[in-house]
Amino acid sequence: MNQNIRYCIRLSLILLFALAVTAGTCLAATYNLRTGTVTKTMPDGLVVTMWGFGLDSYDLGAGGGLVLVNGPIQVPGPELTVPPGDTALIVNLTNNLTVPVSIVIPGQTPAAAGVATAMTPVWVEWQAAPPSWVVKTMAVPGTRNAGDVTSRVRSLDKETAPGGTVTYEWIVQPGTYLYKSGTHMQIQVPLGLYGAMKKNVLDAAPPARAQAYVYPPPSTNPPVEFDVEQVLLYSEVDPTLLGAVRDNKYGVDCAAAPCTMTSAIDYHPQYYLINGEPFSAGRSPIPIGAFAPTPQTTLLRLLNAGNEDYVPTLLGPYLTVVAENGKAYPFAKQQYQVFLSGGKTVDALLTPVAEGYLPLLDRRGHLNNAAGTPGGLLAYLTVPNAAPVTLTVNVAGTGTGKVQVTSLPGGIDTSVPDPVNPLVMNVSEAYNPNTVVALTATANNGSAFRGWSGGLAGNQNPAYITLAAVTTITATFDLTPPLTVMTPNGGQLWRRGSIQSIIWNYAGNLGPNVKLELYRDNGAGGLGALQTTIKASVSIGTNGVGFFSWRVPTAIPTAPTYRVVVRSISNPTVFDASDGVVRFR
Amino acid sequence: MKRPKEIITLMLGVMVVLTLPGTALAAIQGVTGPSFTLTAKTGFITVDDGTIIPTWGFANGTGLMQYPGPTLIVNQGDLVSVALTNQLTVPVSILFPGQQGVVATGGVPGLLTNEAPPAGTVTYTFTAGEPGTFTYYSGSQPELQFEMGLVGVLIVRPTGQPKRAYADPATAFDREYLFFLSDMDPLIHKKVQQGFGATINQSSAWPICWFINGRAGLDTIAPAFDPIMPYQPYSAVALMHPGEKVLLRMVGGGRDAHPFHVHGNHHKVIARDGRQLKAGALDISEGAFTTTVAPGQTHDALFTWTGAGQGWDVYGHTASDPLAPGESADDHGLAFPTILPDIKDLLPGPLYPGSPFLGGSGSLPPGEGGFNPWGAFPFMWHSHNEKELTSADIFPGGMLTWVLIVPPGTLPAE
Repeated sequence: MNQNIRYCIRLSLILLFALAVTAGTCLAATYNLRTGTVTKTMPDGLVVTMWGFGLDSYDLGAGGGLVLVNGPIQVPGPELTVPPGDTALIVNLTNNLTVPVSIVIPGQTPAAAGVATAMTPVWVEWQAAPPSWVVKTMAVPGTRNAGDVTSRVRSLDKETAPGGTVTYEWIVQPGTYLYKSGTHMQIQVPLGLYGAMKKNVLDAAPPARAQAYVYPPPSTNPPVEFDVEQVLLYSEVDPTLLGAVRDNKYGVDCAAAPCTMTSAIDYHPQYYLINGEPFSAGRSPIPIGAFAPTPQTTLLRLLNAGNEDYVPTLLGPYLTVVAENGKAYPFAKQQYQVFLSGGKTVDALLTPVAEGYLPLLDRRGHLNNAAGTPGGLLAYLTVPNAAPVTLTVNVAGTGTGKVQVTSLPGGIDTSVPDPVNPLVMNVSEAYNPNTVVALTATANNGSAFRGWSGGLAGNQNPAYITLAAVTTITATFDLTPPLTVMTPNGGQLWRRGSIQSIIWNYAGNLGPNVKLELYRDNGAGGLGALQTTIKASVSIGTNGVGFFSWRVPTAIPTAPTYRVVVRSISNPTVFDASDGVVRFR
Repeated sequence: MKRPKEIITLMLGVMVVLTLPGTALAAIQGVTGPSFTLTAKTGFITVDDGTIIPTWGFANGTGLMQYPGPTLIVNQGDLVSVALTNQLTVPVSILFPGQQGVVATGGVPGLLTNEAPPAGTVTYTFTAGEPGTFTYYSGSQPELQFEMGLVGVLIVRPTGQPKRAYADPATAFDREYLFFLSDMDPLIHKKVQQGFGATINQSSAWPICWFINGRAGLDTIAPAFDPIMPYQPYSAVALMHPGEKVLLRMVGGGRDAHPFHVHGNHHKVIARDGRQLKAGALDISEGAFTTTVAPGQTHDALFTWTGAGQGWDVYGHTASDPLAPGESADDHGLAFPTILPDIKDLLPGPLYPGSPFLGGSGSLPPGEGGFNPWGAFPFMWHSHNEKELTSADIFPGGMLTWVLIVPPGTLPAE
């Protein structure tokens, strides 16, 4: 998907956009981005509408001509990689939103035709009729007129109007940077208009090592080298803000009054994302460089596109922190965690000392999905084994439920449909050999977990398994009977005339009352003749449990054995009897 | 526990306790290893305004829960073992960030490490390979459990060098103090106590209490193991002679970063996360008057105070007097820069000993003074986020303590 089309500006623009630009700078990385909306489903089921970027690229079509491929809108936006030899980055931004947008990259130099230039902020002023903010044309574009104290900046740089396409250019230096909307930033950035931009000093084909940075003086150390790299982009979701914007209820002058959120002062994120996803049991570990045969060094590019500060903390080897804000320190520092404030980027090297899983958690405690836990900013980095073993989990039976790996390193959640075949209720994950995981079965309402089969036996829940080899496990869920007699359920010997408890569970809508009956046992595990009606109508109970105090009649013959039946009055075919026999004396 | 006006009583208390014969002045209270037995259990901590916060914490063995947990002190190279028994109703575990090769024995697999289920146990073992200041905290629903108080400090001393932070002689110190900086949202604790722990949305956490070594100011300067605070045994007051090198072990224990600010002099941050700030032989330590201590992060810093830069001789020496121990020669013999008014025209504060000079004393109006018998110079050390100098909206409180510069010869060697 990530097509980095490296053309000269002139070539790319004439060929792809036919804009009348006469610039002559070659060696620019060019990306065609498109804004739009995208929905994301949080682990608790909440669906939020975000704004994001999609990558438009050109592939050779079947007929040999260039075919435009519209990449999906995504949050974070596509990684913009600038090859080491390129001096500039060009983004052709097409805006499919209903408001103007722009792109800024803090730390990089805005340019036009290969020459550094100032940004041109867009100023707006309030007008009374119709009440709205309107763009104010300044004498010097981008600069507020002398004496004007009422205009406000809406965009830090030139805007792309809805439906329009505008070209942005930067002279880029190596490092890790955030690109994001420069328009109405307190709204557009939290909505999802952000992504990572990166450039190395030197790329290399393995086993040669790429170089991320050159240490500045007074350091004389060799450049920062790595084998593999991994972007970890932190951000957050405030469902209240996203909902207000989606429903046109944001702002003091929102289009669909009443306005539910009047300003970003009420910004209050509830979900926390790494590379666009909060932690959930089904999230696969993130692979990094291997340990064997030669330990590979991974460059972790940590970015925070959110407004909160985060403290990614690694449980395992130390991080070698080499750069901050896209600038290398003269001397790297050894730390097990990184203070990643809002808008910050930090680069750190990680060289494993063993195979396994390295948890990366936010020590500020953003490990929740709203009131749900675990969630948020937890990820597992995998130092992979060359021969992983696969665990497959199936769900079977008449009932429904889910199975999750609820211990390090996660990776399985059968409630998340298989993206390839949503009807197949099994999921697989490859694990390093001898990984120990906890499997937790959770039955849906109306179902009950019955037990494990395949690689596990019994009904222990959670169950722990050491994955020594490829394993398939089936969890069976049965429908819970709508009525279940709990007491007496067999084995009782009740004295006639005593007061005894009849207790039953119920599920679903069976009406307000049940009927209690006493049957003789038929000697074959079933019901014989009706002995007596214990109670013609009694409340079905509360919260799934019903209860009746019965004075056992003194006239009941003691010789036969009996079973108690609880029967729905509104639906008499729904009933349950004691599993075993009851006797009287 | 203490109302603001009782500060002077506390100051006096510090003095009295420290002058009692045989009182241990071990500046960092803790438990020496390498084998530890910790129990996770409940307790109650008190904040200076009288608020009582239900808390979870680690106890040393069968002792009381304490906040922060026992400071575990080991030597480099020790095979450390921490056996955790869980008396809470939820699983508990311990993470040791920065330690390599931590092996968990027993318990059940959890999200970050093996956990001790309720009434269960788990044991963690690792070799303390490198010296430094570290922290430990629960790895079971950590966002709730470190808030509840399941946090502590691990100190690893360099091999054969008990008076150094690291092997490097440049990290030698005369005295050391711990500054464990943490925060709490009492509402979360009350919800947990009332059984609504599962309904807490951690995104709404809003700390209103701040602590140094588990105590809110001005309890910070009460003596260690003060019986009125049974769950908060660790003092946070620092005492030093002029010229001594004092090691500050600053540890982030809450959910927010706290800017720790020292008065009296700058400090030099020599290590972060238990790794000395050195690039080969090159010293890359950083001078600072405020160090932002992120949650879970540790900083080691050296602080000294000689009276240099005051512009007057803090001892009231004349140029021909010999230098006092630890005194800077820079300001030696410089005159006091003002003429003291007659004592009858002064309204002295309770800490004024009748003399502006270190260790000095003089006549005072009847009933005044007496709370600074050493003639010490107190300097406030505190969070530079001034909001954190409160406890539940009441000033003074929170992340607030003092260093007392006491005259040479007052304290025994550490």
